Amino acid sequence: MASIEFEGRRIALEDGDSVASALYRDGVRTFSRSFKFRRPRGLYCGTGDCPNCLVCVDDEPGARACVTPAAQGQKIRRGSGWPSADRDVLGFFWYLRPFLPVGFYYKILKRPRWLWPYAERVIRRIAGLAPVPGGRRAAAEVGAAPIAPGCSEGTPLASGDGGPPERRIVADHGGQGREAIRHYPDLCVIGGGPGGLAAALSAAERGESVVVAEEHGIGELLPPGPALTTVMAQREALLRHRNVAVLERALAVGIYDGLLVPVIGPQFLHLVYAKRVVVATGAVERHAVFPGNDRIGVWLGRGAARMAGRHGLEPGENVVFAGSDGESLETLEVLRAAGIRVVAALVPEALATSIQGDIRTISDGSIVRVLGRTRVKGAEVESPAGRETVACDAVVLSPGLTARDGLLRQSRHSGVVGAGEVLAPGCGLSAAIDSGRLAAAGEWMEPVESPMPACPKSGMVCLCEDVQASEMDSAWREGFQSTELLKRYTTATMGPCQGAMCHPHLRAIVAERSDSPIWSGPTTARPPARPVRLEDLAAGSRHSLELRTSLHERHLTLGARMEWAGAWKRPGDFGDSRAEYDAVRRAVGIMDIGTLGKFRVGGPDATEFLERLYPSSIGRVRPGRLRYSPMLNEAGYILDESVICRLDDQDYYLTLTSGGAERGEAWLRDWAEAWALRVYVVNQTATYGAINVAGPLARELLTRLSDDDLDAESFPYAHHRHISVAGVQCLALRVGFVGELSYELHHPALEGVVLWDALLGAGADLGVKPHGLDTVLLLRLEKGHIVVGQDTDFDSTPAKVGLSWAVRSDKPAFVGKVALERLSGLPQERRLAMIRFTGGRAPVEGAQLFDCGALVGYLTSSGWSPTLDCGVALGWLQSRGGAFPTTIVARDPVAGELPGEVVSEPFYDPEGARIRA
Amino acid sequence: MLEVAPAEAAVILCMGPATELDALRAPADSVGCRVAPDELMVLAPRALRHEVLAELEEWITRGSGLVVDQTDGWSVWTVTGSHRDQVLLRLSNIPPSPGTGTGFVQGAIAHVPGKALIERNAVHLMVRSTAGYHLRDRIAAACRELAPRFTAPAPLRLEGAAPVLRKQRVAVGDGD
Repeated sequence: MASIEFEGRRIALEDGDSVASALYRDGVRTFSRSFKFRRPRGLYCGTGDCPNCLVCVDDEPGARACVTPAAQGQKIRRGSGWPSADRDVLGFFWYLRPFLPVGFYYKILKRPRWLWPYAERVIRRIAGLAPVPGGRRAAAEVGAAPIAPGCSEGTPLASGDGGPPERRIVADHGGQGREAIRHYPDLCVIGGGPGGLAAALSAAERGESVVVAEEHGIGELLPPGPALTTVMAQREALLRHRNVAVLERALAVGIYDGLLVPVIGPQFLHLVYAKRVVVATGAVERHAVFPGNDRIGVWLGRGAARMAGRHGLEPGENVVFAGSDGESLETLEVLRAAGIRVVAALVPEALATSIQGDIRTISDGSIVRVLGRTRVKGAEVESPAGRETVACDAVVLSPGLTARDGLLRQSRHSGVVGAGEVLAPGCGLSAAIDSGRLAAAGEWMEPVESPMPACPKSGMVCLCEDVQASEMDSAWREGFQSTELLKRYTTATMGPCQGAMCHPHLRAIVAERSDSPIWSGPTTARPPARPVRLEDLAAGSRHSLELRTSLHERHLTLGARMEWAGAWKRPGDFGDSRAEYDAVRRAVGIMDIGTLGKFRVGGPDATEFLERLYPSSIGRVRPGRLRYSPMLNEAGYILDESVICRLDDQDYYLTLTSGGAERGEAWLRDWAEAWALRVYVVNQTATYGAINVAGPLARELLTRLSDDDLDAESFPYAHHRHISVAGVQCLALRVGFVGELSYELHHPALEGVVLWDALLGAGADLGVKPHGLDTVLLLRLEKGHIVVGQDTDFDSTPAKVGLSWAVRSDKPAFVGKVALERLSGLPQERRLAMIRFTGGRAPVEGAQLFDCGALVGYLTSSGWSPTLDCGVALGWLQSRGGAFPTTIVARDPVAGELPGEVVSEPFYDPEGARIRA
Repeated sequence: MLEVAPAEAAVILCMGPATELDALRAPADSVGCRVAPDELMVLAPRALRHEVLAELEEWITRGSGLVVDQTDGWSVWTVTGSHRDQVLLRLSNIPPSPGTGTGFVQGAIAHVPGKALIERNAVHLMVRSTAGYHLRDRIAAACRELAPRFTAPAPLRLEGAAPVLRKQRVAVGDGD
């Protein structure tokens, strides 16, 4: 026999059991402890609306036991109460309630201020529904959300998809995150009651595609009767339609613009983009407020009827029933038919004669209070005949219905209509079906305003947050005199039920005290309509995306330590940074620089375009040559930097920094469009790979693999050539970022591995080594080259970083020119300086710089140069008295004060002879 | 049933005045997808790469536009099988094409910029080659209960390759 485990003991299951019914049959009466006062709470609404039966299912808190199907092997425990929910040592909080009014933490924990962090920690530990499982749970556990046999999520449906609606039992995810599926139906129906299903059927019969989202299993919450029979027939009819997807156990949590309805199913997050939405979420039995209304043994009618009618369980041995309308009589009949002993029925006089059997009827009676400390021992009843106490162990209340309209209230979009009881609570089966059909046609029907309940004087108004009527009253007297203010201050309606229970009472409290109906209007409903897991919000997005060059796998094979560089994963080193450094300085090293932004710019106005875009002179660059230039924004600040190769008169190839490609593409395209020039910009970052071959033996290595003439005269510095290396056609650029003879080989990305392997193979005897970021950052630092983003700030101009030489201020116009002209008239207060440290070590990056004890700047890059045997760094310096310091002291957190000297030339090869070799 | 295979495709980008692109006829056995008013992306089996490139270069008037071989820059995956529509529904917010459900759409796929050529019996998904592995991984993860079968690379097979461009089927979808 199937069973579940409840707090260490095994409980047998019967067919169709919910977690609540199984526990209740086993004698469990206390399902939770309340949020604040630790009141014992038992089953109450039975329809998944109230917070009383929140338990942990397989360690996941917040499951409503009354609507969670029990499944073999589930582990159930109550999330609150210590040492158990039955006997909670903090239950004495109830007796401290005079000292714990609403907002007590604002009032009594204000002073001394140091107390608050400790109090907050204690409150957080005590309050709450249940602890969230620590660490990252295997998603398989999450995927094991309870699924009733035969219930399933439907197959997603695309508009126009003619395939049959396949149905399947939901499977676990096998340890991976939840995924999202999109649907594009004509109609989305939220709610699988008679009204909603009628709307879905009506639309489906017209040939429209429909998605139905039902929070529970369809018909699962209905007691036996005509409504249940009808919805099951509707369900069968719907499943025969090819263009309908029925999502059961799928919670619609909101309605967003564009008519997006996110629906959380057991396995997937369904993103339903519908043309129209019908909200048919039905109604909930109204919460009743009187002293003792949260005692164990007080039930709402639909829940009690379901428990008795479907599960054969008695809400109590002696039940007092209080009803108000025709539906109450149906509930009473279900209880009577199930053999429940009703000792008294309190109904309006008009209904008294309709009560069958030998039930004692108290006409126009109402419950004044419930007796008993934790469980119901009796009910004090008032009627025209007087007040009396009726002994009982359960009170079943059927005081009328309130629309479950949270979703309808949060949607102010055209195309969203209501249907069924959400518009007219208690409207009856045929009226619900009729309204569903009208709703399917898009007809807007005004909701019927339910009569407001009497203003509660005493009792628990908000079950979720433990807010009593007296507290609402005191909050009102403190000045919180509207529904919105009362809600925010008392937190009533803000708990797990999101106002399903207490919202009408909140309004009634304000309505009685306020002169204007404006202040007693409904509070704003916002998504999510029900509590959701963070995992659900992250569905389909819980993965990291790294960009990889075509050499990624090769790097891993060579043992590279990969690290993030912007959106890219790049080799930090290949195991020995020093050897890699030495290879470049003394022999030859190769580096994957395929991450550079690479662009083709062509068209009749390409030269004009680049001339306007860059501060350097582009028109003077002859085909075959290249030029370095910073790229500025309108404020004259450095945005990026480029190497621009002129391929021919109207055709350019240019590079941007790694990570700058996306922004650069937008920048280039925006200006091309703004200037309406005949120019075309193609992002070739992914199309081309690039390998930098650098070192005194770089030419020797390439000569072994290429028949092209690579000597300094044929292919000098600052030129580019199309050459063939190891049979791979490359655009080779002679540039010098690392301060050595260098060739950047830009090649078709798919041929990168061939080229890489050939370079390593042919240069083995030359000592060629691959190197990573660690090495290149030190090499360029020795040369004094900046890294945009690391050494520059948002307001770095070319002049501040020593790139004035790259700006042709005599050009008629370029982006940033006006700003640079204005700035040139102002004194320069900051600049990036090259600083040499000879104290035996280099300070850490970020170290503060001092001049005569005054803070004058900080380091942006720093490293120890093995070649120069000194520390080399770049750092921002502040001028003092109109002059920049020439010596500084860096404060290193480990080494202490390290004296440094500002230098004016690159540390390494200041004449540039090596790169021009 | 879901089969996924890397497609060996040639991707040629033609940039030029809209009027010139309007008049352009894609070479035989290729398909042209208008990605912007002044941009046309031509897909063809990779074996035809150089032929298609040459033909397009001839068509685009020298000096008025630009023809660029982008083959290495795109990772193309062909999805076939009865559940092929599921891939796009799970990985992208791009709505299905109206009408026949076939056509060319573009937007975010698996959270990266992508394009999709949707044919009657296959869906060809394209992302930049720097994120090609990511698309493969996301298909495997998002469709795992459909047990996708990943097969060896195969030449791009176009159902409706025709010399006339399908610009009337272009749809632009919003991204994630």
